[in-house]
Amino acid sequence: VRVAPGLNDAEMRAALEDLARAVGSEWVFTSDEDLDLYRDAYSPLMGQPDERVASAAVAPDTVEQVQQIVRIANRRRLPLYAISTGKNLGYGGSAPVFSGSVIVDLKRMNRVLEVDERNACALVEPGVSYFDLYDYIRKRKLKVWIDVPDPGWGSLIGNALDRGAGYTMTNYRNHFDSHCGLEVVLANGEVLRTGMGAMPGAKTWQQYKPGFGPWVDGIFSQSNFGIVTKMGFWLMAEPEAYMRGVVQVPRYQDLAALVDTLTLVENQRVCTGMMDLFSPLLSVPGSAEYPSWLENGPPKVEPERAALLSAADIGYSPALEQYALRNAIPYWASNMTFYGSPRVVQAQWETAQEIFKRVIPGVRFSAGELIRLPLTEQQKERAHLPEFGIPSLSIFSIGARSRLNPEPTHGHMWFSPIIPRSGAAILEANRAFTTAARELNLPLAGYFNLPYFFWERSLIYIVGFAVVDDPVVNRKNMESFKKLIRIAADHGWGEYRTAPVYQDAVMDTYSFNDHVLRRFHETLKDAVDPNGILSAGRYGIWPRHLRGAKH
Amino acid sequence: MLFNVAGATSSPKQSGSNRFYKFVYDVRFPCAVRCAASMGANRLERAAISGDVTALWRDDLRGHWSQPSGPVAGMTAGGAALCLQQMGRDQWIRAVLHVRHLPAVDGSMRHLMTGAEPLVAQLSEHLQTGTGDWAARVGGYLLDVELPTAATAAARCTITTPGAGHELSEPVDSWIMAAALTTQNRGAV
Repeated sequence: VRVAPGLNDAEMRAALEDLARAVGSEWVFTSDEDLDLYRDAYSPLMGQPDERVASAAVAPDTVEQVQQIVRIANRRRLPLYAISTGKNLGYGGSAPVFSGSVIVDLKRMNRVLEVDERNACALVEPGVSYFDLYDYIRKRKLKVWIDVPDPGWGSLIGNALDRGAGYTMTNYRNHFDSHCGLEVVLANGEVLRTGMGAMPGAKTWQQYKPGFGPWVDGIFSQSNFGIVTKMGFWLMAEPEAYMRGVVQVPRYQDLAALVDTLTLVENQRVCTGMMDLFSPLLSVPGSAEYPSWLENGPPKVEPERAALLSAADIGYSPALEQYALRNAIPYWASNMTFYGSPRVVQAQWETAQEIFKRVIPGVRFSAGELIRLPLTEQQKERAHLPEFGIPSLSIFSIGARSRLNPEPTHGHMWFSPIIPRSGAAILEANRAFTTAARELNLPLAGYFNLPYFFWERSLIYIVGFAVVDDPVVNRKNMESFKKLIRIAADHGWGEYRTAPVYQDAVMDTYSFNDHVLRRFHETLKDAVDPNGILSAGRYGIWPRHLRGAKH
Repeated sequence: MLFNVAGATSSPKQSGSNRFYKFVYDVRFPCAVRCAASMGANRLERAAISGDVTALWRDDLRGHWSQPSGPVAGMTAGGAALCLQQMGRDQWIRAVLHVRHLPAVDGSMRHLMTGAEPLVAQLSEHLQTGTGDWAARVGGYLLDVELPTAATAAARCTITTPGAGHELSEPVDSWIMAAALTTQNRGAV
């Protein structure tokens, strides 16, 4: 039996016996082969002495069992680490931040408690996956969609609490923002319900978010103040039609106007769906084409263009721009998606074109097919399914090695700062991170990096760091990653989410007024979890007795 | 690390003591097709994919793994192997053998094996002494393999076989996924 930090062998065995009494011995895991299932498959520390691993795992089936586990942990000073299904790979898997913690695995709590078609909302447990809820809705022929990440393999609650994103309409893509009401087991074992759920017999728990008084839901995301055992979500009413339209602009300097106008049509709700940026000239793919680009690399271009691209300064030279204009190759472009009735979609697309034409000389458009929904099986074969609220695993068709990544990898870590929604910020980010990558001898994936429009009013600039079999390379990459975190912060850009090995470094950059935010988190932590038993270190929040130590 | 593999009951179709539910192979890789062909359709049910495992998992393996079930083997791209391994975790299924077949510049193939010691040992022997090319030898191994019924230590091993590396532009993974004995009596999740 592995022993959790702070306990001796006898104390650990006693704690495990208590847990077995609470959930049944078959749901307490202590063997190496069982605990291997809780390792982070993408950990850069895989197989190293400092890899973060669990000492045991326990899988409750009910809220009452979660309460008992928490009470046992308080009594025994047993560190816990709660997961839903542990599919946050790229930003951390099911391994604990504080090595040696006992995993509280919530995947058996997988009940869809309610789907209200009329109000387009749902209430689920942490083990409910996107596939589970999708199947539930389809079997009952309910006219609602879920917004799924890509891949759609994880838990709704897990993804929302880590602030994941999807691909459908604007107001559903931010998964934490689209939640409505939480049930949380607090560190003392009490059950808290937020929003309208705080009222016994509430009739609108999944319909009205704030309830009365301070709206505390946010403190349970990316944190360790409680274990979320139920969560409500707003769903998307099934639209009648979908269309994708492409906007193309000819010149390098058009990037600023393109981004500003995309933001305008999104804020006006002229464009209701996902938008992205891509560059036909620089061979930077759009979000739907990204998996194929990862696998196959940029398309081959003719020698003159290849030479101009290689000679360009971070995606630009006058000669390259002249080449693009001469050959009618757009410098920048955007896919915009629309959902609604066919007439509304058509009107929105026409309106968007009018707005772009007023602002950008030489702008061109191409419209995709207006698709009547639901998709046929044949249409599903060709579609980027997450845009239709359908969970998919197809992104894993990519092999371990690709043209862009010639050395076999066993995972990746995402470096993903939030940058402003402007062309100037995109250019500044490219200059800053390309310069840094050259100094740090990091491979560059292309001639330019275009950020993602997952959420309103900001952009996510995503860079993938490969995790390889060589621990020396992984250590070097971790140091480089931390340098990029600091470079981003120096520009005023902060990570929105990161893997456990970087969470302290990122929290360090949110340092306004002598780290008052972290100190406030710690004040909360000390108040609601005085023994520090819940998910120590998660997102840089450490309990008092572990604060200041190196983990 | 210990492995404790379930599903070790004899099958009338297979000569070994395993009872594989299916062999999953990616038709994009000639070696995977050869491996599947070498086993013969009547001896082990085969499931062809072309990269994407969504339908296989959603319509087949999810239900199969939700109850006490026999092991599944495969030869796929690394991404598919990782994905199925992660999806299997939702039902306490684990990879008891993982092999990365890596083409080397001289045209040879390196086989990096990780898993339960007896499984690694048996595959090493098959790769070194079996008939046919390396992919067919993996097929022969899967028909013959004896899955351990008790906890065993983990092992790592690398074997190099001549030729055939030139046909692959990227590594291909072979794998066996199974429940542990300790989880066999758990109810469906």
